[in-house]
Amino acid sequence: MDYKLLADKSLVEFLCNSDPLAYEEIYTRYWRQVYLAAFKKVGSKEIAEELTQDLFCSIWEKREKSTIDNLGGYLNRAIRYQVIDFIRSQLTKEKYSTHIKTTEEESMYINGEHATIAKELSDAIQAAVAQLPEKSRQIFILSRFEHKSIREIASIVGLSDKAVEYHMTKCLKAMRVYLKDYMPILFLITLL
Amino acid sequence: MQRDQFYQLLKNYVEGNCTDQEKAIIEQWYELLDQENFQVPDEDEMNATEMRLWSKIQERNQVKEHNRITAPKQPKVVPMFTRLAAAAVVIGIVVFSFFLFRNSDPNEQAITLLTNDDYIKKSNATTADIKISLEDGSEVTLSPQSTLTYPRHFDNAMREVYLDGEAFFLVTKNSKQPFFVYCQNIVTRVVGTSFSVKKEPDGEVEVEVATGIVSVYERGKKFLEKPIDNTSGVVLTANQKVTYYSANKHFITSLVDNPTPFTEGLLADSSKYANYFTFQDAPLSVVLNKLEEVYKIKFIIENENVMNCPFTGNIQEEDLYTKLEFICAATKSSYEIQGTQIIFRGSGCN
Repeated sequence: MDYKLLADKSLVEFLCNSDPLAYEEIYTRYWRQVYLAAFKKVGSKEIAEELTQDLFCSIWEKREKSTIDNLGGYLNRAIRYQVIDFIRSQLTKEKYSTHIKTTEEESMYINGEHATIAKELSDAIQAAVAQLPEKSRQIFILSRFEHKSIREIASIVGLSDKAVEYHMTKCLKAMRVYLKDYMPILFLITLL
Repeated sequence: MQRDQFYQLLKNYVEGNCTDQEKAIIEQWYELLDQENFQVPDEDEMNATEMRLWSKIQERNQVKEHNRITAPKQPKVVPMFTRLAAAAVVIGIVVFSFFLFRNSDPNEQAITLLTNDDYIKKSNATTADIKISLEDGSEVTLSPQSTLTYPRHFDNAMREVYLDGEAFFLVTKNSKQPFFVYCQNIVTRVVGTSFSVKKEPDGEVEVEVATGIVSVYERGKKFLEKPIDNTSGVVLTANQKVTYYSANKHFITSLVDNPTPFTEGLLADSSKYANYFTFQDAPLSVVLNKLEEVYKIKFIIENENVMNCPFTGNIQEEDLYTKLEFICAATKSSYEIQGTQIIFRGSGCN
């Protein structure tokens, strides 16, 4: 049987039955997407490798209870969680980290604070987007919030692919400076 | 901005305790994280990463599975006293059974220790080989002082056994359920064939193939249909063997010490094989072709002139290397085993 020809759905079924070849095919098919997604966010190959490794190991570990419906979507979500969890763990390593008490009273208070911090983050993002030049802003919104591809954006705004990419690079750099309070130190190294 | 609050927010997100709105905000923020100078590594690097990452993943999974096999449903730390006591009991059983079964069928002398409900562990404490039949019909001949661990029931997707020592395997063919022998850190993968695996005291592992095709690779490495170099594993066919040197992690292939002839399907009438190797002024090319055919070994001829040398003689009963000695003597040539091939040297005959 050639596993390369199997649909994702069948691979997942075989995986549930502990088929190592199905597992290997899933890796071959998706490792690149997962690894690059992590690498793009954390900017370190070593960390991206580690996160990818964690993800694929956990799939094998949980294979018997797996309820994956859409494999590609599942892996995309899973690596996002891995990356965010990694960032969270980095935050604790920074000197800002303070002990969080979790008595009932405290947690009520903290939950209240969350709403504020989430709002603050949202405002910061809005403000960061707002300070972009108009063309850049349009491109940025299409790319990041509407998930359009470079090609699609190019045809919408009437620029070449290269020009769109140039705008994107500029935008990302500006955003990082603007949102530096929300970036772990590791991410900021490239700015210094 | 309070770091600890941000931390808590991310924690809630990862744990799935966010409101939908918070979730949307975090995902928006996540979209902004891209490194602006991000570039996809080149193809070579990606391929190397793919292999390296896969072997790390395999290794980690195997360690986990191995722990599941060796320490099932038991607390990890066993007090030293208990361990000694357990060891004493095992030694006791070994000694006792040796006296008990001294004169009975050798198969019964093997001690079956149940590691847990799912696995059977057989140790051969006798001085003779013992035969073990597996549920799929495969047969294992276990050498003395060797141990085989195998599941009571094979997995649907693979048949896996663990060997310490030496054994000969006759595996029933089932391409949907490959057969794996784990010995030290070496994996031998077959579909259906016969071969032996032996662990040397110095840590080397030797795999010899009797029939069929066998893949040998390091544990944790990716299984490749066609290995690229001598560190990524090897594919062996009949009469070939490989020695794995754990010190430098290299696989060295060569021919088995006494290659077996394969006559099945060679001649319509097998009785004709009786004088298959009787020659009367036959050119060397005919003789070597027959040897290649019967022993499944490739000959490399350094000088084509030698192929016209005539050979006369009956070398039917001799083993391969004695056959070659006779041929070389008659044709003033020599042979050398290089890897899994035989190099034939001679200046030719007039």
